[in-house]
Amino acid sequence: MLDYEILRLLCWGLLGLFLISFALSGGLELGISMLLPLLNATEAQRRVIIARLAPLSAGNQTWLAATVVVLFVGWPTVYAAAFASFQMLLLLVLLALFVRPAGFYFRNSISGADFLKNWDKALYVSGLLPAVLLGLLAGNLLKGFPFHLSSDMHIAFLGNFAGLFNPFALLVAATCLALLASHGAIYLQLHGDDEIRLRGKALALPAGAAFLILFAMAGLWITHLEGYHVTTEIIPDGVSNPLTKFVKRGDGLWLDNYEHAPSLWAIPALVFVGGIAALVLSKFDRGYWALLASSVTVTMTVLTLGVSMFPFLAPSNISLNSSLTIWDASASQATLTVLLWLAGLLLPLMVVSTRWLFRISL
Amino acid sequence: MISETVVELSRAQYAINAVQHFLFVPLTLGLSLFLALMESWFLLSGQAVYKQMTQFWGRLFAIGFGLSIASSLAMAVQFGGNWSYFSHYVGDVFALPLLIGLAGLFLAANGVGWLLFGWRRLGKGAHLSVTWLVSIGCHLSWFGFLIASGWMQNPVGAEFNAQSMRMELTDLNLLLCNPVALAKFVHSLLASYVTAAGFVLAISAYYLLKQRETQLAQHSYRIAAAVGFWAVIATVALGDASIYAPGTMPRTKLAAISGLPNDDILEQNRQRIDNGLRAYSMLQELRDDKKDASLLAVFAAAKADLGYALLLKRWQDSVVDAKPAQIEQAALTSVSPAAPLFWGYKVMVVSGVLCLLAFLLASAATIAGWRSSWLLKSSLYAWPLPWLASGSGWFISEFGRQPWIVADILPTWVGVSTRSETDLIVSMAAYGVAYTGLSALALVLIVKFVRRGCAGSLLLAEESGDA
Repeated sequence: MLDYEILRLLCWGLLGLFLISFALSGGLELGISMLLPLLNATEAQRRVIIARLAPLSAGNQTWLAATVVVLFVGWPTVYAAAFASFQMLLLLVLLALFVRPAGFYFRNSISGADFLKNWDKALYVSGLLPAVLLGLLAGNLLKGFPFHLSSDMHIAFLGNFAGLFNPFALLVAATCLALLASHGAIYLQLHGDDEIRLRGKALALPAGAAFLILFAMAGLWITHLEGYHVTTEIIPDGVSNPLTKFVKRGDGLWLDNYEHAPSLWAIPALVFVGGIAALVLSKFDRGYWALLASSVTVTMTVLTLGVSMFPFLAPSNISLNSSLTIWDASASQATLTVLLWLAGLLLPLMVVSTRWLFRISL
Repeated sequence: MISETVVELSRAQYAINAVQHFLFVPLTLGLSLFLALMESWFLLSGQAVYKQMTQFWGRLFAIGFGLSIASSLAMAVQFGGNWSYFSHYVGDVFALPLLIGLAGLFLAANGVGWLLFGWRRLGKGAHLSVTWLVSIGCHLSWFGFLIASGWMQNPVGAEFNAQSMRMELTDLNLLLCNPVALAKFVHSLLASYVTAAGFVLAISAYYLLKQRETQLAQHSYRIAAAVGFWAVIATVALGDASIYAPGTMPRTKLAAISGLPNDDILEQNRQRIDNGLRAYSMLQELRDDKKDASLLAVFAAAKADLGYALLLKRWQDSVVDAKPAQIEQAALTSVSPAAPLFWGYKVMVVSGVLCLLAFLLASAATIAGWRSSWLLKSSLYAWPLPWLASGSGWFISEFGRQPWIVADILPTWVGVSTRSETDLIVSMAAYGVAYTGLSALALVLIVKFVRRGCAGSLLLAEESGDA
């Protein structure tokens, strides 16, 4: 059996990889859907785009489901605290995602222009909404959210839905939106017919530039945003009980990890490198390389979130010591071992099959 | 104290979710096998009608599959959202089988698009493998979910850890080879074949009565009658031998469905509450001194009954101060009410027998050469029977678990999230409206496809995607 500390780290890495895979597969689909009304596409062109996305849609959603289940298995308490706190937000994400596969499959089996218009609106909203809401979720994770753990680990929830819409979280939501829109636009530039290609190229520049500006703004804000830090000694192979540590909060603490390991600066730096490269490549019609660069940006953006918060998964802004980290809120050693094997086997299989399906479908 | 309204609202929302899950998941699971069998026979025999059948039923399968995915996702969100203490308390064990279920879901979800739209792009053999993969995926995910649900009935391979305040996995083999879960898996799998057979039978009978799509309907009808007949017999036989037998089924439930008194069980539970209280007070001491060996030994001896002390949380927050009257109340409610279980079992048995009759009549109709319209009508109107039978079966299993969410470990009452009532009402309304809308859309689509028959209902990617 592997060391508990290594297990926790590896499983955290797996969780990140599942999330990145969702951002790349599902995120691309969301990005394309939210651009649909901006494309001035004819009905025939829409049909082609939708027919390409349709066989992939259900599979993309299972990436999100996989991320959720890996979190549930690996950090049951984090799953419980986060899902109960963000229940309303996640419910909306869920409702939006409900519409997608069925919407894709059956869009053209019902005729009537009015109906199709509404159907397309639904598809557009179901692309836009999850992108915004998941960004909002990420923003609130960075800020910390209000929950308290009692001594028997009952979780008390002290926030409300309106509280999620704070300025910083809205900025992160906008960043997420711009990121997925530019990713989708570059995809369309590579794969559409001539007209769609031009539209995609025209949209990629503003969306990509907006993302880079917003990302930089969020980064600047984080230097003054209250971050979290464990002040007591961390026992990476200790038993999972979140109430055995002390946590402090302070301006700019999310930059701690970068100060201790300056090589980590490479991750946010690569967001910019990838983003600028994608814009330049898109300008010169190197669609394939632009999409690759854009994928690097998406990956590094998710990584930036994870690395900045490490080792926190769910900081609490009301009861600091209730905050949950990867060390003290994880599953047992036996369960993490099984998780590592199962998910470690599943992940490459899922990546290979998703890649293959994208290739033959798109 | 936990609010009664919060508990009831959380339970109601879970019930809505479970009903939706139960309406479409068994149907798609059963249909996936039908599709694989039909397409295999198409390749072996070369008869074009079997390809037509796979395409026609495949469309209805896709509608059901979309709704199954939606309700599975909803479940995955609901455990953490409304049942956060449950998720914390048993997540270490309960969530693992869900990962297996997810692997199956991934397989099926990626396959279903190709099943629908890949007829021209894939070769015959490749398409058949996709169909089989979808079916295997559906079965695998059912297996994972049933292992999880079976564990809530019979929580084996796990132990309470006083330091992390939750159940933790001790034996993976026990979890995966849980006899109760395996019996439930096979029983409900067979029942889902019956559900799908009833569905196919009813729609085929409709076509035969209207004298449309005759060839497709006759072939489908014949397969459904045969599969359904044998599946009903196997479901009943296995149910009797494994699930509703002494030894597998908790004695309280067995007593309830057979209408027997359960005084001795109540007496036993009184003692378990007493013992649980000892474990609970020990746990408080352990919190101050985690290393004390003698304390740990005493706690280990009593901790199997810890859950029984939690039963008191409904009336008394600090359970060690519980009054004798409250202990008596907890003991009396430690078994689920007998009458609903008794009648639920009757409904299940009666509708199971009627199912058998319906499939017998259907077999007679195939032999009689489709002339008798009353035989066909009986097949048409028998469609709700399998749902009724498996629905009451689920009711017995889920309601019979009460007052526990995980048998003998965690009371339902304690498992909820302590969220505000308004929150719960709003989310339940939003979710209920959305899902009802989606179900209505699915029904409209099903009716539309059935009316159009197999020639008219082309889907989008077949029209444009291959061009």
